[in-house]
Amino acid sequence: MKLAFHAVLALAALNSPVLAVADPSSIQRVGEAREVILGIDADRAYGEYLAGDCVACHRLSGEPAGIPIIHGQPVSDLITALLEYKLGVRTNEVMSVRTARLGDQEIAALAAHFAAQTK
Amino acid sequence: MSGLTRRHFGLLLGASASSLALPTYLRAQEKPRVVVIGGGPGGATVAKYVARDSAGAIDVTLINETETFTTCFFSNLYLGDFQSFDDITHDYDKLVSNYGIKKITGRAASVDREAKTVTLADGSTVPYDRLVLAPGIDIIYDSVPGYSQEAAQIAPHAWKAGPQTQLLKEKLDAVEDGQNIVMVAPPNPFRCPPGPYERISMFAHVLKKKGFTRSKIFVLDYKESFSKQALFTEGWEAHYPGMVEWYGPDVHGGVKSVDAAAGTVETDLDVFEGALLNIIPSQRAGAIAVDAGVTNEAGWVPIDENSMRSKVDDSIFVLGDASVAGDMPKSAFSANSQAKVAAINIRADLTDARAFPARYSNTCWSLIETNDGVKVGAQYEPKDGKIAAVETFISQPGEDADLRKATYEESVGWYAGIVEDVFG
Repeated sequence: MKLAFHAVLALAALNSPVLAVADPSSIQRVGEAREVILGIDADRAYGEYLAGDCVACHRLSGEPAGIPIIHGQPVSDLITALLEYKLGVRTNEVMSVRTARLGDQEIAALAAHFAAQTK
Repeated sequence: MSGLTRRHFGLLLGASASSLALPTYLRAQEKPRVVVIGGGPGGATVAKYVARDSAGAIDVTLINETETFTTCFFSNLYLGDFQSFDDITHDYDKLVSNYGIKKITGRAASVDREAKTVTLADGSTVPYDRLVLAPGIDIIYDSVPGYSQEAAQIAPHAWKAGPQTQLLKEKLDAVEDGQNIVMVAPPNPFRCPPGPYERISMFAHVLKKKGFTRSKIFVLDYKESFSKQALFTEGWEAHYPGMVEWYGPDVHGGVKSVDAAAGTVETDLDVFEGALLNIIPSQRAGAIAVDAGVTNEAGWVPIDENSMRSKVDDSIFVLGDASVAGDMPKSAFSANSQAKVAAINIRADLTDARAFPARYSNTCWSLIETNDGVKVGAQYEPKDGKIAAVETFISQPGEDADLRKATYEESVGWYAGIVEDVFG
């Protein structure tokens, strides 16, 4: 699963590259924030609601053409991806505005929701 | 039901009587009923989300005039030969089979807000506890002098996808080298702000591909400026030099009359002649919203920014193009986003579901030429009595080709995603 996700990330990178010279402090902040969020008791019902924003683009089925599949990915990877967009480590304007105002509770809820989704 | 659980009650019914034989007061205690008028990205989404997430606790009926739905979004890409008509046409089979939604193919003719019923054109009535109006737009034909529903058979608006879109495609494909196209672009507010300009791009793409670069496309706009203007203008100059001429009202001085049969549009500036006229008039909320008495003087429906509930009737929610959605554009993405806020509020009204704070999103992608995609988008929240943009972005002029290609590919991915979200 982990390998598959990184393959998907590689695809996603076409649209949203990890910056060649990402601010080291941002990368460190992602790591720190991830640990905090992993400790949150996620509200799955809230996550299901928030996911409405995501599933207008990210599909449960089909090939990840243009937009990666996020359903069924590990919680930690999902949290990392959301934080990287929020903190500017990865750039894609759509993802930047979607994540800009997500708090820790929202990120935990979204990650828990999508990690639980399977085809 | 005094002591009987719903399950026991069902078993008793099975043993003794059909539900049709139930006294009215017992039927009244059956599931709450949600009726949705309009099966586009707003209506179909709210029907699906209410039915799916209430897991059978709410009866959902979806009323749409047609058996299938052709999306206005990506219909420009059909004009440009990037999509087939089948690609942009979808049915409701999965909504019916996967979520138990009752689909009625028919026209909702009127709403009785006192009795809480919808009457269809065939005279039948459908009762509701919550009604969702997602009727999209109606075209105000006579807002353009000389234009009419009849004239639209010669000079299509194609601003509601379906036969009009196919008619426009036929006429586009019949344009010969050196013949011109004239578009009249509408005043604000209207469905799909970048839509006319993406369409211009697709017109030019089709002509250029055939080598018909002697043809010109004239845009006579009711507005002084338009969505993604810098991006479109740059793209037209780069890809279609000399083919697109855009005139704002300060230059053309006003559209005086359209003569569809003669193929002319007269303005203060000049008489423009085209082998193809594409006239996109002013718009208002679909007629059923007017009939329901929930529209304002301008013909659109004010809503509560926290729920998409009508400001004049707590039992009615209004989605998409028909609504006054603050900073949100009239787009499929917006309608789909609004539907999710409405769905959770409807479920909270009728069941013990939790409602969460409203949040909305939108992205509008446009294609200028093959692999040259651009986008604009925002995140929205209720603020100061309206739906307000809180984070925004837009593509920049001069972006490199790889980014533009990735943006186009993203739009193709989005189309697959939203179609699955709405109809799947």
